[in-house]
Amino acid sequence: MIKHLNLLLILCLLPMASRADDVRAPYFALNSSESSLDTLPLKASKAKVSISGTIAQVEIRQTYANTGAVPIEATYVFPGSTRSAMHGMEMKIGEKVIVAEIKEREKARRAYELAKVEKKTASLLEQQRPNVFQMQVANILPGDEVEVLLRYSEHIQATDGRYAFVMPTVVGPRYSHGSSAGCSSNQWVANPYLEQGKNTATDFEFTLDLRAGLPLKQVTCTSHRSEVQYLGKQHASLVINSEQDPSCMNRDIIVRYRLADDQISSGVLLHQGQGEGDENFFLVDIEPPARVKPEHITARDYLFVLDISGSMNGFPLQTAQKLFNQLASQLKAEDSFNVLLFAGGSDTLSDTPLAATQANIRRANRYFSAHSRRSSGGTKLVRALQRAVNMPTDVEKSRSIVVVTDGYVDFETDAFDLIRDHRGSANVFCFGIGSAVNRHIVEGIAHVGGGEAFVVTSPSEAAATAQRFKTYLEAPVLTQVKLEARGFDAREIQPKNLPDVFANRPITICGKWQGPAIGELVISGIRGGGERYEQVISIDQSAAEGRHNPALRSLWARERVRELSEYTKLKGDEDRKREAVQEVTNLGLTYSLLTPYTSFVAIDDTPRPIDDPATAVQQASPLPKGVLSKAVVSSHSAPLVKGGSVPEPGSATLLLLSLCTLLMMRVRRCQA
Amino acid sequence: MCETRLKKALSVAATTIGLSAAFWPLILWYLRRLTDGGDEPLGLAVLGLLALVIFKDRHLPRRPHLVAAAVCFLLYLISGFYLPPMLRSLPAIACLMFYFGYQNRPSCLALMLLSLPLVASLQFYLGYPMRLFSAEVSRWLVLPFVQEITREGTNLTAFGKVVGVDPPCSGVRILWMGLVVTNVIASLKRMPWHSTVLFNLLAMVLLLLTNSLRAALLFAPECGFLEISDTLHAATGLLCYLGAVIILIKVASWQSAVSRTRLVS
Repeated sequence: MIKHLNLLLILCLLPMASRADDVRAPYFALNSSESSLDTLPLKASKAKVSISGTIAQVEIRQTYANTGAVPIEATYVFPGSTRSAMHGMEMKIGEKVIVAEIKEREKARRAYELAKVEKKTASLLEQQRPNVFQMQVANILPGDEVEVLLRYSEHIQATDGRYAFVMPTVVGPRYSHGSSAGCSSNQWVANPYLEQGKNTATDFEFTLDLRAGLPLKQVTCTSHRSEVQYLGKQHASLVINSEQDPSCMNRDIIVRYRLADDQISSGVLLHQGQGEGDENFFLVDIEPPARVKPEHITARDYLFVLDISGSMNGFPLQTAQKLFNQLASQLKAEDSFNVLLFAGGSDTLSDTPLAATQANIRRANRYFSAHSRRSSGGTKLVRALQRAVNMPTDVEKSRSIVVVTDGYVDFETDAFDLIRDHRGSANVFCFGIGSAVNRHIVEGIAHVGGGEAFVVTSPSEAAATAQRFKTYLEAPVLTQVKLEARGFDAREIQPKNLPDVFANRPITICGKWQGPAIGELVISGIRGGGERYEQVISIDQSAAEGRHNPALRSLWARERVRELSEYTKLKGDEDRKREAVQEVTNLGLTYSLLTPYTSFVAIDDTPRPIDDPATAVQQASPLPKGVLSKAVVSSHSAPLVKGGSVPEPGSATLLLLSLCTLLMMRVRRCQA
Repeated sequence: MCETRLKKALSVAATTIGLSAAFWPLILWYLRRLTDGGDEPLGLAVLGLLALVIFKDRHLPRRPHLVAAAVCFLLYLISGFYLPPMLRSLPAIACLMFYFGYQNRPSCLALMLLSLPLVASLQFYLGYPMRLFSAEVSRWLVLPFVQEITREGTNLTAFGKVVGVDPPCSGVRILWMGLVVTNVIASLKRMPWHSTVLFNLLAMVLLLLTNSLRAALLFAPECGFLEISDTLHAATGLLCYLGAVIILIKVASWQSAVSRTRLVS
């Protein structure tokens, strides 16, 4: 009867339930009871990075092996840098090397599925997000070893005279509501994770060979313990591996370096196509002018949007709190501010902006501490941003929205669209907190919001980052930036619109060129003090230094894809969307580039002796350092921040109350 | 005398060993579920209550139905091939009920069922519909005071504030605990089958409404219109629950009085 009533209740509520969000969530890997099945097929992952000047060439060699007794199909979700141009893949089985083909995403998947059915060993590399990739290797037989080699290029920029090469090693557990328009399938979000503190069994190795082109001053790995070997004035190398540090795969690898006298590599790199009809490319790094602090700094209104979801629990939240303390302590008395906390829901410190008095700042700190102790639930970032952009502001002050999050969501485009729709009303700055931040959303929010992105990996970095933020806001380096080509036939320049420059970072522009490599590029803008600025870069001199930089091809294509699809609003305008998708697809196919619409597929034509279909196995990832198990457990159940939900009383108190009531009933009966 | 006692003790020991051996996989599963952190180990408290109820009624006549017990045992054995342990425990519980002659004590059967690690499964299967139900009823309860209230999924919104009826607010715990109390009362009142079923149905409706009332009462403080402490927050829920339990006791007493009157007349 009880069963029937429950069934009836479900049937009655089914129409309402169907409106529920399509929530996908990560989960913990379970130990297979079947000893014949190899559940962790990724045996080794080796990254070899060669940095020459400002271009990094990366080779990742993933070895999949099947030590079980049944054939498997391995799936592995792994991260990449947000600016990486993935341009090549090879698959090696035994001595046989198969070069992967780039195909339209659907065609590549069909080819892969067909190969799988035809019992051939095949591999498929798809882009799930600009910084998240998925590798699938089908029909790995017991005893097999399949090696997949990936190649990508990346351009490295200096900020405040410091270069940083970042290689993410793990994708953090993401919260998905599954309704993000413009996003491809979010199935990958349902990824298995190892429990907190458990290391992956994958043999990992990272080797870096750095040839800066100018004398090196300091090379440090800030994320891992590693000895830097100086092989010359301009040449250094370092190695990180899982033998020395078994937990090395649970955080981004960050290598920072400086050049002598804090120089930065600026100038033009040229690539001239060798064959007839081949295209020519250029990439220019323009050193920005020195920062000029205006005499009168206008008062600002700050809205801090702070993430206190489950994945922020522990060290990220402590860092966020420290960062907030630092940011708030730097506000001037004439500034105003407000705080919006969010997880599954949101709550604000005040309905209107508060004056940045010491008392109000202390109140905000107490408010944040009190709520962060109960942090849990999903990351409903878009809803929080929606609320933030609609919150009242002080009309006399320029508003800055400061978002602090780990970015463990998968509906990036919704957030970008929302900020873009309200662009002009505020600059949006985004702080990514954690050891393996989702840099795509952090950089994207800042990009579309006309602000800057900051990544804070430890509490010790909070003070310096807050100081940098203050400096950036008070004195932007260059605004109203324009580029002009004189006597140089430059075309298809990326980016088309140059943003304001807050950070002391080279302005990077890439494009194609035709005709002779002569002339000059002129960059102009307005400096912090209000005066006009212009800088001229000679092309002739760079042409004399060399014209062979093939990486520029894929880097240009990558920037074009970025401009077309990643931060571009495509929602609603079907024709524009179709055109953009077609252009991205063509770029992928022409420049052999992994994009949201093109994938790499490699198929070994020899069928394998397989009787039954291969068992699908999803490689489990370690939890990023500092992320607690709670992030996985609670990411799909989304309790709100306190002040936004109505949890039931605890079981123990309910039980106690029940027993007391029953006892009272007995006592009264006995008395009667 | 001594020999009879020895025979009885031997018989009890043999029965216990035999049943433990027969249900050993289920016992192992139950112990594992108690300790794996998936559910709170409250089933043990229910088993304790069941033991008290059985002890209290130890002198009541029982009629073991061995054929039905054998059929249930057979079903239990067969179900081992295709049913998960939670469902396998149903024929096992039925088998025990028939074997010990408790088939006419529906509340004992219900308590046995409620002692299973059910809460997590209920939360998984019934959590969302129950949250929707609570959110919708709460909206109706708040509507006379706040006309601006709207519901989006399981979230209630008013004046730009969002209050979510999230998984920890679903009312599953209240429902489960309330049903335990309901069946203890039914057992104390020695309710027959039809009365127990009706009493359980009433309890379910009442407990679902209790959770909705609780959510409605907490809406104002959670929206920030009223400042209340965490203790008061929890106390509101407990008071609502207590109210529901008192109603159930009153209904059971009334039902028992009516039955007595009928018997007398």
